[in-house]
Formats: sequence, C-alpha cells, structure tokens
Amino acid sequence: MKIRYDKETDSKYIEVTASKKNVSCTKKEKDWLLFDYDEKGKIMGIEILDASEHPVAFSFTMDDEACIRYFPIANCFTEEGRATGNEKFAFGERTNETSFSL
Amino acid sequence: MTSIKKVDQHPPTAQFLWGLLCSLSSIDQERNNVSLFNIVEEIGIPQEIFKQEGKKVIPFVFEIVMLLRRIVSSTVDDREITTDIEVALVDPEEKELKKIIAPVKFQKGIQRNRLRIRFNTLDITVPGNYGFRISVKNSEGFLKHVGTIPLEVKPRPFK
Repeated sequence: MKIRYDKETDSKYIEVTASKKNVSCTKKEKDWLLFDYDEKGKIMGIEILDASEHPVAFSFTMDDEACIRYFPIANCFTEEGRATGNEKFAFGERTNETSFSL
Repeated sequence: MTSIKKVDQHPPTAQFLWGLLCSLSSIDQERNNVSLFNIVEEIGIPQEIFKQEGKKVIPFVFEIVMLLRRIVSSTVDDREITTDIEVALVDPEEKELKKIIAPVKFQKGIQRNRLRIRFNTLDITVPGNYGFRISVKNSEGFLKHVGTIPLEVKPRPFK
C-alpha cells in the first residue's frame, strides 16, 4: 500500500490495492472524498481533497464483501501537561493525542 | 573482521515506541498522562462460534493505545509534520481481516503522539494468535511495518 500526498494541491491518495489505471469507476462520497473501485466493485483507492482540513481515518475489510467506512479524528493538541506546585517531579507530558472510535 | 550494517534508505517517518490492547484508557486532562485499564492479551470466545465457517464479527469493546515518536533527523527539526499509520488485523493464517488508516500529526516542537483507537467489534476466523500489525509511512509514501500487538483468541466451553 502506498500513500501519496501532494503538498501543492493538499490532496492525498491512498492506493489500497493497485495502480490507478485499473480503476473502472469513482464514487464521490463527499465533495472532498472520492473512492475508486475496480470493475468487480473492489476498493482500489481513496482520494482526499483538502486533506489537511479533513483528518479522517478509514477502516476497510479485504474480503469479498469489502466495505469501507470513514471516521472523523479527534486531535487534542495538548500544549503541556501541568504538574501541581507541591510535587517534586513534574509528570506533565508534552505529547500530542490522536483518538477516534470505529 | 568488520560487519557491514545495512542502512535503511527510507525509514518510517515515526518510531513505534510501545502499543497495547486494553479495555479502556483515560487521559488526565490536567497532566496529559494516560491511564490504561484491563490490558488484554487473550480473549475466550464460546467454541460454538467457531463452528461457523469464515469470518465472524463478535461484539468486543477494546482500545488499541500506542505511542509514536517522530524520527528526528541529524539536524534540529521540530516542524509540524503529518504522517500516516496503518493498523492491520491479521488472523493466525496470516490473512488480513481489517485495515485502519489514520493520519497522525506532530505539532511543532512536540516529539510524541499518543494514538488511541476504540473498537466495538472484533473480526475473527479461527482460534489462535492474532496480531494488530502497525505500519508507518516512510519518506517514499510506502507503509513500513514497525511493530505488532498480539491477541490470543481461545475457544472456551459455553456454560
């Protein structure tokens, strides 16, 4: 699997199975989200336009009943965890947080 | 005798520090620490379920929690970067049952990203050792395997 990101157009393409030349139809799920399928209806690729504005996760199965779903991502960019003044050591973590539910 | 070390020309853009499976995780919003509850390594499933052929979807609420660190180059580089991560559920026969792809963002100056994915179901086929294979995108756009979180699925008699 390959993921291409075009900085100039801010678009992302996820190659799920093979190259784009085998794509037989494209389904527009949203204005910014396109799914490419082969002739058997198997997902081939996912195109995300304005990718930086649409942080989404994808879940898909690889069997015959292939289905694809997408989920918004919650990004909690915590600046810095705070420790209380009484503690000798500070445990506040400077760590970004990414979470989502399937 | 000198050994020649093979250098990876296109390493993954983030390092997998640790990852595990638990039934619940919670973030202390004041300190930004994570607490993990009921770390799961094994799940018992009524053996009758395995009599059905093919893939089965069982209701099992769990979370995958992992910590990633951005790959720091030789120069000081703390720009904001976004990479992609793949989590693939693989059954004991090495068949991929499910794939999840998600973007992971490292803010300017922040080295680590904690990723939490909540599942409501688990796809299974046969009893045995399953794995959640973690891959991170490299500089060429290809996904590179960086680690696996194991889960043993055991049949148990139905009471």
